[in-house]
Amino acid sequence: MSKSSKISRRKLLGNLPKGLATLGLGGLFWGSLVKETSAESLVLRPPGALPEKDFLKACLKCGQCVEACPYDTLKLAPAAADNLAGTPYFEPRAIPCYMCTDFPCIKKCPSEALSEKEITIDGEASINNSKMGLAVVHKESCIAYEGIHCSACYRACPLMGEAIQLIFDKNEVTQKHANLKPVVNGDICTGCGLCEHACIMEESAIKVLPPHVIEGKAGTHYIKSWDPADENRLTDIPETKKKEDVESTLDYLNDDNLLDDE
Amino acid sequence: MKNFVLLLLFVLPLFVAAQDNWQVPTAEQEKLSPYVFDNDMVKDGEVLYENFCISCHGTVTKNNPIVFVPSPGDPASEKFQSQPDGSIFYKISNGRGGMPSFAPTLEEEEIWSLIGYFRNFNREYVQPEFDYGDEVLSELAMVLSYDPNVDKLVVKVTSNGEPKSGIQVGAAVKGLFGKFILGNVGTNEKGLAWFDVDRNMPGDEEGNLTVQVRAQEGYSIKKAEEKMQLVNPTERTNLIAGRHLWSKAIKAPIWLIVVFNLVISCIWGIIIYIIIGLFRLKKVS
Amino acid sequence: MESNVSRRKFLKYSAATAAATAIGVHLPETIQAAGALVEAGWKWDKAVCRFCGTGCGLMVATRNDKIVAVKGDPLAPVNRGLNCIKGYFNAKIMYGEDRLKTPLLRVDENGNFSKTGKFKPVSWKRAFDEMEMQIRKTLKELGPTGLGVFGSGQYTIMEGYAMVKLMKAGFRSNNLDPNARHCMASAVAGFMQTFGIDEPSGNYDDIEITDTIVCWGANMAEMHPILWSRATDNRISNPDRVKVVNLSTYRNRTSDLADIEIIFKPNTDLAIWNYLAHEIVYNHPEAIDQDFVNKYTRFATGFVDIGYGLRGNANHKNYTEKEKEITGVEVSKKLSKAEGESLAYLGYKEGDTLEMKHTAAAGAHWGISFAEFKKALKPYTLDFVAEVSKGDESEPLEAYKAKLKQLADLYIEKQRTLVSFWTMGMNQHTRGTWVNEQAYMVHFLLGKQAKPGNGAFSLTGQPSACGTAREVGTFAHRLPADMVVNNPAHRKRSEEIWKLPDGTLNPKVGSHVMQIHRDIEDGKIKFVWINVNNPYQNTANANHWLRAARELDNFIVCSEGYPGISAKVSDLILPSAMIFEKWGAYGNAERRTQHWKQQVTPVGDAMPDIWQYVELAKRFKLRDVWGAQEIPGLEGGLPDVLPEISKLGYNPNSTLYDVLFASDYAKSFEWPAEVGKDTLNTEAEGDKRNVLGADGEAWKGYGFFIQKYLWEEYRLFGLGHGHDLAEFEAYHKARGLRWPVVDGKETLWRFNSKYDVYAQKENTGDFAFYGNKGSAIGSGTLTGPNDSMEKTDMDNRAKIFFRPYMDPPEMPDKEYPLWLCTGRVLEHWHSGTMTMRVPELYRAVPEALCYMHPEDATKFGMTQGELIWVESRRGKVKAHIETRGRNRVPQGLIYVPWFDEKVFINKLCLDATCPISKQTDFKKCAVKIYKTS
Repeated sequence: MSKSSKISRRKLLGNLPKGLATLGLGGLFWGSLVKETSAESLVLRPPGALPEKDFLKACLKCGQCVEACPYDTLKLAPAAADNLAGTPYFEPRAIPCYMCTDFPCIKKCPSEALSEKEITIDGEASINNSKMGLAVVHKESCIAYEGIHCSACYRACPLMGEAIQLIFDKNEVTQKHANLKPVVNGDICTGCGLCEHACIMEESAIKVLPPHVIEGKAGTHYIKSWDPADENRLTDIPETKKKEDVESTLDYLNDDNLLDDE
Repeated sequence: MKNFVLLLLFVLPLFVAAQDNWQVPTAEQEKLSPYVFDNDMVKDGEVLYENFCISCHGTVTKNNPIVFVPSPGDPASEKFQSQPDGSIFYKISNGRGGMPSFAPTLEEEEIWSLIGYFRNFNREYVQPEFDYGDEVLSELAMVLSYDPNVDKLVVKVTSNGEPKSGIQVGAAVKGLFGKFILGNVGTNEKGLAWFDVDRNMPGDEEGNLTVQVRAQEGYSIKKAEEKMQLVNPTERTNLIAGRHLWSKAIKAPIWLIVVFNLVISCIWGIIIYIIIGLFRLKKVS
Repeated sequence: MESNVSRRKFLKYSAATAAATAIGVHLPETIQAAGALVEAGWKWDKAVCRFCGTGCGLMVATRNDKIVAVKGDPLAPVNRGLNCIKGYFNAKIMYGEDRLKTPLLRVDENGNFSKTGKFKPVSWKRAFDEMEMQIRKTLKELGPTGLGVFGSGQYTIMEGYAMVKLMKAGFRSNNLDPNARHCMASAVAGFMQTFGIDEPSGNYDDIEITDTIVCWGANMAEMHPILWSRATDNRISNPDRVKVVNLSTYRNRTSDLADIEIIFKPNTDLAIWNYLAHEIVYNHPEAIDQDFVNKYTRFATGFVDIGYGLRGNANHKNYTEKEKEITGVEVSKKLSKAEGESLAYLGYKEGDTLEMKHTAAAGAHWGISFAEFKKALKPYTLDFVAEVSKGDESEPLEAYKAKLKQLADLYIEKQRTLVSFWTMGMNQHTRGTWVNEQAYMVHFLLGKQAKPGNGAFSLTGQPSACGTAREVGTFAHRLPADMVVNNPAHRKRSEEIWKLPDGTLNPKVGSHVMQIHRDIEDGKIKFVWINVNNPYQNTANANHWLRAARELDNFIVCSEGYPGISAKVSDLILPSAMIFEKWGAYGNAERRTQHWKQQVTPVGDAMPDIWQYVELAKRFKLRDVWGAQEIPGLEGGLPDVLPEISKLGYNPNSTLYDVLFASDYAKSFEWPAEVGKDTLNTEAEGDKRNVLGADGEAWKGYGFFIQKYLWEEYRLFGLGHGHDLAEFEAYHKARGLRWPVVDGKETLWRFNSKYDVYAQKENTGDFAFYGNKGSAIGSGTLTGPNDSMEKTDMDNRAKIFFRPYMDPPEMPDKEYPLWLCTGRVLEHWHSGTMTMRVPELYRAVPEALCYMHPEDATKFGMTQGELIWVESRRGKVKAHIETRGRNRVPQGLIYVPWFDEKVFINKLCLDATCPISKQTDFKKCAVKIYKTS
């Protein structure tokens, strides 16, 4: 009567592992083709986040920090964003970090991916010690540099006068007004992004970027003579073994071509 | 052995009987209530009795206390009423055996209100006058108002037109089964005491609530009960209007009526089909 | 069993799986629709910024009848092409999403007006019909005093003038008062009492010239940003010479530039000014410019028992019990310790009851001798004043004293030029007139007034509080050009210029803004018109007025651009044209009048305010309004002037339009006109929308140049009286002119014979304070006037007032332990109806915060960012705490700006005013704070 093919139990059981294996291999195959970003991400992490590599290992993607934030600042990265998927980040232009003095996000984190230790200096844990990012003013587009009386970013900064300062100079065009130019002090700026949020331009002229994108790092081969503390960097030099390559040195020396004209 | 038990059985009641006589020190017996047993006190006493006493002493005048030795007794009974006020006060405060001590659970004034309640059943009772000595009972007047700017119930207490400061004022919202206490504060130099009111408390359709306020200075008490518009009006929706699963059949949801009738029709249809089939069978055979 | 998984299937399955786990596919970005390439088809024209009293010049670019951009006007001397970030957005303020476009009336289901009805769009004709009916009803019931108009310091000059004519000459009502009452009234009263004539003697050039800038209760960095840019430039260009001082009740951004920052307790500016005078008179008498003082000034004083501008009836039925804890001070007050010392010269001491006997004669004053003046200053030693005025409890007293001494030294230094600036800190003050007078007192003693770089300069807050409200006289007691209604000679002059019969004008001073609100609450005013301001958000003790508007029998009309709080409580909303949608003129703080032309057609069915007033005028005939009228408090009322009208060529059926706005003189100003070539003019010729107007017909214009007519007629008031303005066309060539404009020349420093033609004419030497020309006042002693003494001659002189320190009416106590101060922020203008609708400004500052000291937050168990209740005796609001913001307040004080509808702080403020100027004190009342959960 019916045309149904009888699938035997055995066949079914036999097909199942085959299918699974196919899926697994295929996933691996295609997955390997997809480029993983080996460089550190460009997103801004919540305050107290461990350095990015450690953060990605520690973050459970549980989302409790997102829930704890009273301003809905934090978001979880969508699935399409490589190995960042599910980790918390924020976009200051939309909603900045409001620098809660009691940092509920850090307190809630169960895995210490956000850690109070990261914002503790001299035994005191303070939100002002965070290093979520660094604000950078693009002087050429900031209207305050040309004389418009703005300083909205300055007034929005929770460390007003310390993280953002105003430099006054004479406006060359009118000769009788001063420019009030915002300047960021990178040592103090926490990267909260209240400045980027407040900037009244269509595209903000002050932007917060992850510190590693901006910060430089000096090699340990030179110590600053004017800074006694700088010598401490010598203690951390890793031992590197450079490979000796005698072969190519000899190859070069034996290639007798200097008199050739080419 | 049997004899010994019988002996005990006879002797015990004597002990019990002996205990029936609850002695109260003379000084305590003479204690009198500084509060007048007015209707308010009687009512308060009634509420307290029902909360604390009725479980053992039973309904007053019905003589139905629980079975206990010694019997708690009905407060309206002669035995009870023959005591002076101070004795009852002492007994309630201190308790004995099965009777708990109610001080400090109940304030002095509350215990007096119980006594006031009991005395209410005694037609011959005349409350003895309390000697206030030099203390003059002030006549308090209260004006209740609602301040919509700051959502507060404001009570102004005056005596002979002058505002009284330092008066204890308690306010509560009357509920169906009890009171919601708003607070208990002293008045300031302008004679004002105020209580925050949450505008989201449920009131009636106009937002009215009944507040009960009580001001006290020493033994002088003034009470007020007023219906005031304090909260947002409560919109009462008729739960049986419209179509619901819990309405009458006529008011059932349309879909239910349709489905029900459909199912019934189907079932009847099947029955008829079978019957017709049977008839056909009969015809065939 | 074959393995059915072919290679093809393998790839298919695995690809499908991989797709599920692979990184997201990057869709190509949607190519943004390229805007139609713009041809260079826009036109620039000059205009002014819509916002503060600085009065920056703008250029406006229009294309296709829309404003597309603005730029600072490089030729404007004030700003030379720069702006602050409010001015930056002038091109956006007219195009908010919820701009009002049609008249809206509260109606019931039958379309009839009902207070409980919902707003529905109606036609202009229906709107005017309802207005006419309501006005007639009110006139019949209450007479002219039943009408009230909330005027504005943001009216254009022509609008303000038209409304003055309509109300005072037409309806004969003096209940027209502007929001400038909340802003500059104390400054005005200070000017009138001191100089006999309004407005500053100096101009903005003083900022560049001076050696010293002292800000008294003026957060210039945020409130007059472009002027502050100029001050900053002066300071950084001359770091060795120039000094800046910021006196304030809290640290603000002005302190960033200040060399000395003095944080004082609210109200104690009264004491500090007297300390300066004390220093001069007692310790540095050589600093007194004796020549100037002897030749050009007189000493004076007045009453102190003048109340605080609260309702006279301290037990008014609408006062709640909590409010009544304070209102009694209007009747009598117990003197505090500080007052015991400051009022000792009148025989008072601490604990005495001061009966307020002179609330009705608050402004009365008389001349006194220098000896008396000196005697009164005795208590104001450095010790006393420092003790009374130190505002920051964490500051050591000695440090504070040192600062006061430094301040005094700056003032006293002979060769140092110095300008004192102030705005709301000194004006919004229950003794605001006194503080203003004290500023002049110090500057006069030192001879540092009316000279380049030297002077007390009252900064104006609004763009045209000077140009319109003050100069045109849109006040309950004023007429144009500094004249007043209760002066018969002034009324006569006005009646002449306006061609009114004698006795038309109402001599009884009308209700000021706070009084209009109180009158509405008492049912004494039942028809209200709101023009160009937001009185229900900007007035203290707002709960009372909101209730009065919504619950009582009255009719409130609101001419607005956006649905703000006042529109919300009104009964009829009229969509009004905004700044560049009409011809107009503003006058800024330095007396610079600036004109602009209409740039674009108004949005929707919005119509200019002048049109609204003039169309209403068409509805009323002389017989409706010029008969005899009863005026409460005026014996005999207003006379019937109808018998006189035929002499002027009117008849009883002439409308107010015919008489006030369309006389032959008016019509002589033709449109089209040369100055208006290729320019829109909705009032004169209508516009492309053909809006159905007040008569139901398409609007085609008046046919003549009504704005120029209003200007030229208004000019007649000031010409030759020290208020000279130039002809209409001159203002469309120049970037504004500072009046008096005599023979085409501006006046830079008034009262100074070198710069002011009027002063020169008086031939009294270097100066002439011609505001008081030919006048004299009574004389007396510190305790009171004395009729038997010879009168004090005031000819061409100004007054040096002695005013004592007094406490404010409400101070923190046990239940309400904090001071509440209110004000503005740079990003938002006033009630935020315009700036909160600019997305960028809204994003920068989306809400009003409660600025608090971090230790106060800890003390009350609160944290940064927490939402709390702030409550006074009059109301409560919720606000988020800010302990790290732009304003760093001392302990014991909180600051909340008022631009945010959601943080309606005026519900808490006390409706106390300076009894002389009637200006509300928004800067100090007592509040408590507590958590919301």
